[in-house]
Amino acid sequence: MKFLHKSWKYQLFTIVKYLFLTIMAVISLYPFIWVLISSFKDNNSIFGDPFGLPKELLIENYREVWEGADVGRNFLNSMFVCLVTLVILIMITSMGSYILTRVWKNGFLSIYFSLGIMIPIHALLIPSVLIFKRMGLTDNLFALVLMYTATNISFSMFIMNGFFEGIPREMDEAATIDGCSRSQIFFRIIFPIAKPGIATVATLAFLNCWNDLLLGLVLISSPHKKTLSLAISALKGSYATRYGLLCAGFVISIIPVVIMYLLFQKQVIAGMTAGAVKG
Amino acid sequence: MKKYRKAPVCIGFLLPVFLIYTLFLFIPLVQTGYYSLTEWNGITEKIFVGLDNFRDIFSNSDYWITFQNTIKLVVISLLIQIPMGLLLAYLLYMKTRGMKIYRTVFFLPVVIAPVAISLMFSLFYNSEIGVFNRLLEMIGLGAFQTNWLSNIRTLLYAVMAPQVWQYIGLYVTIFLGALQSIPGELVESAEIDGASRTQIFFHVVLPEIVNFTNICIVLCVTGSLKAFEHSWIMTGGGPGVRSAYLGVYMYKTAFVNSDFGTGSAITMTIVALSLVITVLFNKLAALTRD
Repeated sequence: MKFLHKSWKYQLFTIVKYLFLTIMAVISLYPFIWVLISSFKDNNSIFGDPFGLPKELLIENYREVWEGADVGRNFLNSMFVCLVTLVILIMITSMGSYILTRVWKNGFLSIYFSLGIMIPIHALLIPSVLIFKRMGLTDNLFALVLMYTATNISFSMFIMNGFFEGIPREMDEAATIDGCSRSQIFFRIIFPIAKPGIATVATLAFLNCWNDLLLGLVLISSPHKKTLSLAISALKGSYATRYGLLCAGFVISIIPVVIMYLLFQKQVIAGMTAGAVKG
Repeated sequence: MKKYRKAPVCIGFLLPVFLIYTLFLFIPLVQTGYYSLTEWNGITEKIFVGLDNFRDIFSNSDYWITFQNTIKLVVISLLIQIPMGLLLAYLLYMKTRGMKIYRTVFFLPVVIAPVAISLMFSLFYNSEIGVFNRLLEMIGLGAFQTNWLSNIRTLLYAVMAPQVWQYIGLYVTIFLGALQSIPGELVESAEIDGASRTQIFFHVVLPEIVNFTNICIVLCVTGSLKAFEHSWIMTGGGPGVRSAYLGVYMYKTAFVNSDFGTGSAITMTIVALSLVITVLFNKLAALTRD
């Protein structure tokens, strides 16, 4: 009797559990689906039937926001800034991390490079505007590249240090005996082995750059140099009442991130939770 | 001898990262500290005024309104994100089918730009389309319909909601990782001993993941202290500074009113606040562990 009672309770619990999880999943996902569906609608259809499917697929919204609002240009700006940042960031942090974990351990420098994790971007805004003015990089995408690189160094080195430390020392020794120089060891042996760590850094740094608003706001002013985040925040002003168009802009802005997330989910989650799991 | 042979490689490999980090992160940070002690609009000469900027902001009611808003966000985030993250993670951990799919869905909002999330919620709050209002009507709560972003009583919470909603998945994932690292035998032996589900949770599972809870709390607090986009995009922090956080107030002061000195002073209080809370909390966590 007791057994039956328990199994009845267990079944009820299981039903409630899945129900609750599913409701929460719908709350997480439905807003995006709503925007996706609305991006194919015109205002009439959004007002008349906000939760229904579009009667016909209006691709017009996408065309207009891509060309008319020049979001295509902003999309390419964001891609350019993010990719250049990634290349520089990965080169310099992997080289630095290699030295600090395997060649010359230096406690002071390690702490110095980890400081950045605690610093909110707000603390850099005012000086960065002035520094780039002095460098002649006002309203220049390279200013963004430099700031994105600098602000991502701390966490990148933190993750890479973990990977470089995990590679056995014998690798270096064997390579030295075979006559490899330090830089050959790094480029031919260590860098390729550390690929998973590099992938984690790359995905997370991409998200950070792609999603930034603050640095873009203070460093970029011309419309044709704006990144996608800036363009999206401006859309709200210029197309305030064209809801389908706003939705289309939204969808365009999140597509790269969503694709990246679905493809590299393991790296994204590893990167975003790295501080928690290792600290 | 060997040491000197290493030197050129060490310098060559470390220099780029050291230079970029120092020039664009460390020096600006120090400069902000210095600017906070000056009166300056970015164009004319800086005038050193000591702690006057801090005296000014601490006697300014706008500062305390945004300070309160920020603290409210911290508290609400802590009260909702951490328990909800832990609950969902624990449910997923209990041999749930489709665990990975749920996790993928819960984590999705975390990776989306706050700007985009804010734009999306402005549409939901919009009084013309009124997605929220219509939903309320559909579930029979039509009486609660309001103009979310202009009603002074709902304004701040309407601005907070997207941010709180967006990052729950982060904590689900961290807690799930923590739960999965608990040795399976620990839970099994408790089950064999006849412990109930609640007993297992409080006496076996919770002590094992307490460290992760501490880290989540620090992440949650520092994340909330940096809050900017949601408020800036949805309301511009307004009316006045009613829905602004410290981060928004700093941005407005420095870049809308061109008051770099005061803006830097506000920034320094944000930096100090997050440092103090992080250090205090780590101390506290260390104490409770012993």
